[in-house]
Amino acid sequence: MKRILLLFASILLIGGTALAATQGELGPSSQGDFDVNLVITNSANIKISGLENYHIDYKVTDDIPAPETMDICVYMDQPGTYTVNIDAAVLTDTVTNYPYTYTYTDNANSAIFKTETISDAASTAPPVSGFTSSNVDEDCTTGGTSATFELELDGEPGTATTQTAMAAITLTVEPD
Amino acid sequence: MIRSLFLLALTIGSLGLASAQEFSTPPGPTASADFTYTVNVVPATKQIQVTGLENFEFNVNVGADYELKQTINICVYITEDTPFSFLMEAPVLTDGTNDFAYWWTLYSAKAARARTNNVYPNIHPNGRTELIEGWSTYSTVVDCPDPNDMTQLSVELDDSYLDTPTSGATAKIIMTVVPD
Repeated sequence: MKRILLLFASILLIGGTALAATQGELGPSSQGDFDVNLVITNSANIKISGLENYHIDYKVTDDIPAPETMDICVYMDQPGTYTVNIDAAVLTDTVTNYPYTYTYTDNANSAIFKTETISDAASTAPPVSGFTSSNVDEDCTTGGTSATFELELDGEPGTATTQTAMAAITLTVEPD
Repeated sequence: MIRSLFLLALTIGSLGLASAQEFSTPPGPTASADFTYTVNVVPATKQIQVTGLENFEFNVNVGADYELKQTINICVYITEDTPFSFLMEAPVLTDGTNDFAYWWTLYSAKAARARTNNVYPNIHPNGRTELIEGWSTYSTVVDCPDPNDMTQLSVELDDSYLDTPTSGATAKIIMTVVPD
């Protein structure tokens, strides 16, 4: 019974992994074999650029800071649309959280956007597809940028005495 | 009749190829005799072994730069100093629907010798077999401790066939080595 189980386990193992090449044995002649395996995909390559760090100086006596915007370039080496996912952390000084809203808008079609308000938890909004990429040049120096990223504080930061609050925001794009 | 049988047995026995086990000729109107013919099979003294073979894995993204050629080192160990032959049996690289073209190359830096062959599905729909004689790069020590005694084996894809996506095309190449 143990032998049967062992054989069964061996078959499973072989089924789950690629077989290695066969080495020849010593003899009057020797024969081995090897595989040539080929996988071809045709997915576009994509690149995002134009990202900058935001730095908002704010005095508690000021009004709400104006939204910050930046122009994003998303280049694909084939025409097509892409999906964007944004992983936004809480803007915090570790004592106080400062809610903010980000909006990522397609420049070719403003009806396509991704927005989310981050208060006391990191982003959970699902990715959004259908954004139009540039395929003219990698940095969008011609043909215009692809999207606009806007970030706005939600309400006045209050009377906190903090000097710096930080949040990391990660943008991930992939071809549709 | 009796004499001829007797002479035959003695002659073969003296060559060491056969031996008479029983021989009797009682006097009488008839006579019979039997003997055993034994052949000693001596193993071939030249033993050969090919090792170091690996599978070649190509992952191509049409829209990106990709690797067209891969090379490995193989070892042919022979128990005597003698050239040998490669027999390469190379089938079509296919996923069952789409076929792709490739080249294989054997190269010896030590002997400054190379042999290249290709398998184009439109020209060689059943694959291609190639015999290469007189290859002089080998090792008389197991596993080729001296890298100079190894032969390079390369596989190169033909770029013009790589426009069609495939989740997996395979060709199993059989390599046989025989002392000359």
